[in-house]
Amino acid sequence: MRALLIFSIFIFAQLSYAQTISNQAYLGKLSKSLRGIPISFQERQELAQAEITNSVDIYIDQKIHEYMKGGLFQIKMKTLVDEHFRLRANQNPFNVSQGYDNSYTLKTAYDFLVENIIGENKSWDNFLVAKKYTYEFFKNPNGLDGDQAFYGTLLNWQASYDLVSELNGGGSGRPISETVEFDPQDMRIAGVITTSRFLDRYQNTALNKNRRRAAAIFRSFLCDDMVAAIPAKTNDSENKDFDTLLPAAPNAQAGGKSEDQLRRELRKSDPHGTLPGCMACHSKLDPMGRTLGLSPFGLSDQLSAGALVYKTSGHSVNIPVRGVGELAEKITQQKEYLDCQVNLFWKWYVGQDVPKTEVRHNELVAAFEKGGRRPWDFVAYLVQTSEFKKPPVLLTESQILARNAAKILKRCYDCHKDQYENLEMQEWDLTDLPYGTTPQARAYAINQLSSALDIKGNGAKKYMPPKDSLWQLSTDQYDTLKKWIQEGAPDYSGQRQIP
Amino acid sequence: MRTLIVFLILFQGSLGLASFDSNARRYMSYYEVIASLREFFLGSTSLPTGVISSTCLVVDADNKADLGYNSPATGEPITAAPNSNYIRWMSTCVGSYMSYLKMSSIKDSRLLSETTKKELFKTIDPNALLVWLDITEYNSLPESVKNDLVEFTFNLVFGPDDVFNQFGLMDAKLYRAKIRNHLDAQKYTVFKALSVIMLNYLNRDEFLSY
Amino acid sequence: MNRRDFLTGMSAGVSFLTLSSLFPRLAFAANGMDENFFVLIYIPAGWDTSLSMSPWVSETRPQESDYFIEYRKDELIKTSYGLVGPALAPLARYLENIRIINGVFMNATEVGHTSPSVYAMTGSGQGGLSTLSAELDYNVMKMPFGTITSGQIINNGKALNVMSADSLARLEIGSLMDDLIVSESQKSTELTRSKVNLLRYQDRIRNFKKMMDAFKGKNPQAGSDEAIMGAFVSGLSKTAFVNMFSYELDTHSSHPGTHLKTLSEAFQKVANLFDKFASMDYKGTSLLDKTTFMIVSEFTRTPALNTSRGKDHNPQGNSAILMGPKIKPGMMGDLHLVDRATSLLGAPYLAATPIDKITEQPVMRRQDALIIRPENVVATALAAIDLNADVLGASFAGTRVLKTALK
Repeated sequence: MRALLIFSIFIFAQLSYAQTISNQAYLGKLSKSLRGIPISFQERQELAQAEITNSVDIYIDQKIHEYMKGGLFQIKMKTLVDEHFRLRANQNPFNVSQGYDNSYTLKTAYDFLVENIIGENKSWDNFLVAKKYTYEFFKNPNGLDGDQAFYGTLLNWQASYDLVSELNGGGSGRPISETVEFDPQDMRIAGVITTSRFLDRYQNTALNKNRRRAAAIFRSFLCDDMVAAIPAKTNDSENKDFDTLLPAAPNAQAGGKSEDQLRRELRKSDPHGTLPGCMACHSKLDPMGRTLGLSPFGLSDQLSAGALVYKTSGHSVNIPVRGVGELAEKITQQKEYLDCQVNLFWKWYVGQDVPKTEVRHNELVAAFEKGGRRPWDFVAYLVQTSEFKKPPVLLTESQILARNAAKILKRCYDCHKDQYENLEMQEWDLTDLPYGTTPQARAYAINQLSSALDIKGNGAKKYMPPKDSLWQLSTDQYDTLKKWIQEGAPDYSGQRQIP
Repeated sequence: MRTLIVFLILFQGSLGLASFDSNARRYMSYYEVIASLREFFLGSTSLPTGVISSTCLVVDADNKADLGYNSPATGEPITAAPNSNYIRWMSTCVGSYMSYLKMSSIKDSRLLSETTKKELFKTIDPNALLVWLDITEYNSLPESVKNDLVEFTFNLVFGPDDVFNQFGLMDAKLYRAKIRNHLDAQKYTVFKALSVIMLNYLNRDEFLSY
Repeated sequence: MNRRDFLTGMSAGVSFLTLSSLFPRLAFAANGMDENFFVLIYIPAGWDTSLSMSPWVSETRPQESDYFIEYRKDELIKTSYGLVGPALAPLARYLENIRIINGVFMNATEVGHTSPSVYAMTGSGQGGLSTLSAELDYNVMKMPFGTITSGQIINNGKALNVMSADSLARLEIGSLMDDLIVSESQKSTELTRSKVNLLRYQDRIRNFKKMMDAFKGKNPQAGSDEAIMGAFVSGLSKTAFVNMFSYELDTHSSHPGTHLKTLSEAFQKVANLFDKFASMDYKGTSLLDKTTFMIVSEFTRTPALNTSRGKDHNPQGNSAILMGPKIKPGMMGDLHLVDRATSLLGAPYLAATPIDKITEQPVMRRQDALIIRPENVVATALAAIDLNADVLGASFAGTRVLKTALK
């Protein structure tokens, strides 16, 4: 089976693996991590010299700061941020002649905001709470365009420019950049959310009730990943499809319906928002979505109230908010936000598969806070951790198998954790290996899992995931799980859970 | 490592990274490897126009799937790890940069150590170095120069042996010996031998990942 | 009757020749087994089926506010199975070889381009699958070069083997292939494994290079189409994905004339690809005779013109085209007009007509009727290359195949 022809990968072994990489290897890793390119020959020589003069720490510290202040760090981190928000524009970071964008595209408020946070080492919270925007535009004799029009609607710019500063003049086809700043208390404004780039990427439609935007916010800031798609076919949806294809003809009234009436009917026929399996997510998405009825062409001067609603281990969060600005502010106050952002940096600079205990995670959160949630401070901290400096070791096949199985099982937990029924499943994090402390408990759990998915029969007699679920296992995934169980369902350290 | 998770298209899982599928060790991302090659071969030298194949300089529709471009629709790299297309791409680019070095006026090629140059310049005119590289047989070189060619470039690409060895794939000395054996068995010019060395070094995990 | 007996035609002025005999063929030694090849062609942005696969043919025409029709009846193209629209003119030579499937239902409401295009190209509306060509290679064919593609492949998280057709066309391997040294014996990474793979297939790659050089010798413009053919014949790939992305069909304004022109250009490109495949020898016959093609777009366009004289998205109906050695030429299914007075959407639309579950004839009833969906088109294409639908996973097992479309 192709997917099972798994070759070894490198990974940091257990935390107890104490060896540290050499100075040369460390600087090489720092350079690739922070700048995206290997260290130069000259830097190798300088480091070798520093080793002779016993000044390695000073040299490396100097290099970390030099790298972070450089353009390559900003390009790399902007790419990571863009990809995290899934807002990467279709452009090349490097150009043939200038080493930057190939064809000039106007920099949007989003681009400037990211560059400002990374380049100026501003608090990471600014992705949510920033109220100041810079953007570029071309002078348009026919009226306002692009981001200028987007913020202009709120500032009532038609005749006069009520702007903070005009950074450089236009003329001869060059773009103009200008900056606008809103009141810190302005609840209509919320960092990256109230940029045309974000709103345009996550489009609003009559049917999706801003759920795409809410889901993007949950995913990006709270690491709560939800899925959406055209609903799977059921008897009920099949009937509705027939209604669409063979409407009771002729329906004399339909033509006379108001648009509102038609929209109401359309919403009624929106199965995605009403199916029980979907409601687990929609109970979170819809209250947030109410704050996000924004157009990518121009901000609204009206506040739209909603709520930040989600469940987390041990408690439910339900915070009413007056508008998107307050929503964003409240998100930055959540523990889940901090955990999520810390894990994001961990993934970027240390590696998502590198294990960390809860105690270690809390230390990282404290370090993030201590550094004012600023990126340079936290990145500098991370790249000096013992985990970053540990040499890679090869994983065994059992360890890889455990990781691959856990990736599949994560899908089960992602869905179950939000469901209100079946407490046992809600609390069973299937990625938390091994399952239980006794051999009996582990055997029972694996048996349960195996029969629910019908792993032996490739799902022919499965009852999970449900037949109408949006997610079904592929044959490769069945094969992976089958092999995992055959090998004794090893945990992350490669230890068999069952004989 | 193969990623086996299936996520849906619209709101995709957030496991992807700028580079290929992320783990404690990750590959340089699609634009980083482009930047790294340029940095390695050209340093701060300005880019000659129309010489280096564009696929080695910009991420475009042709190379992005091969280089692990992160799909904006899914947040996932298009391919999970470097596949054979990646090696083909890298080979094309090593070839392209090496041809540039060959035709450029950089006499003091970065790929030769000072020791080797000193040794060579005892018998040849420094201005004729490139021509010499292109006509002289690698096997006609003294053992010390052959070794130095392999070792100096090794150090340029990977650094000291311990950096290479810490990856745990192969012993640096053993690897260089394999390269030497391969080259010794061919009838290559010095330039071709250098190209082969570069092709192999730059296609290694120890260069491409961190 | 097989497709060879059926060469058209009526509009092309060529009749009863084999496809292979139409073209002088390039012959190379084929490395691959005698197998089926599969090419998925995607015409992006939503085609107007009323200009192509499902034209208005009746003498009586609907009101223009319900259905804008820009052609006269005598401009339609006659085939043995009925009339097709003027945008298919470039395909005239192949019209008697293709199977048109009309009345493919994508979704009840407008959901933009992404979801229905994913649905059309994968057969899964839930994003559970990758682009069909890549999914087939991943699950079944497992070829050294994987799927050759001229567009972005939808990847739902699998380590697909995908090769860009353009970069393949420019492949510069030369003698470097001899110098790739793989030294690890035990410990190996994905990269090492890729090197081993590359070396294992170096003979095929050399053969491919020879072919590309020959193509370029005959035609300096030879590019991605030839790379696909070369990869097929040299045993490096069996599947391809062709995205006709240079054509802008999303005519929300100024539809009349514009859409017809661009859609015709897209079909011309399809015809060119078919011509090239027909001119390529494959074990005594042509590559065209060994390849199954599936042509899709995300939806058809609304029948009436909007206020900008454009036609909008119409996911309530769509069409698809299949062609291949086991595909029975003809037309099936239908799209019918739901007029403004009847429509609950506030605008007229083209609805997929259900088909009878047994006869597969269009029926305007629910009982014993089946709505054709992209998964049925995919399952039919799979059946045409002797594969069961469950090769795409357990959830795809049992997907209904359109038997009428098969020989």
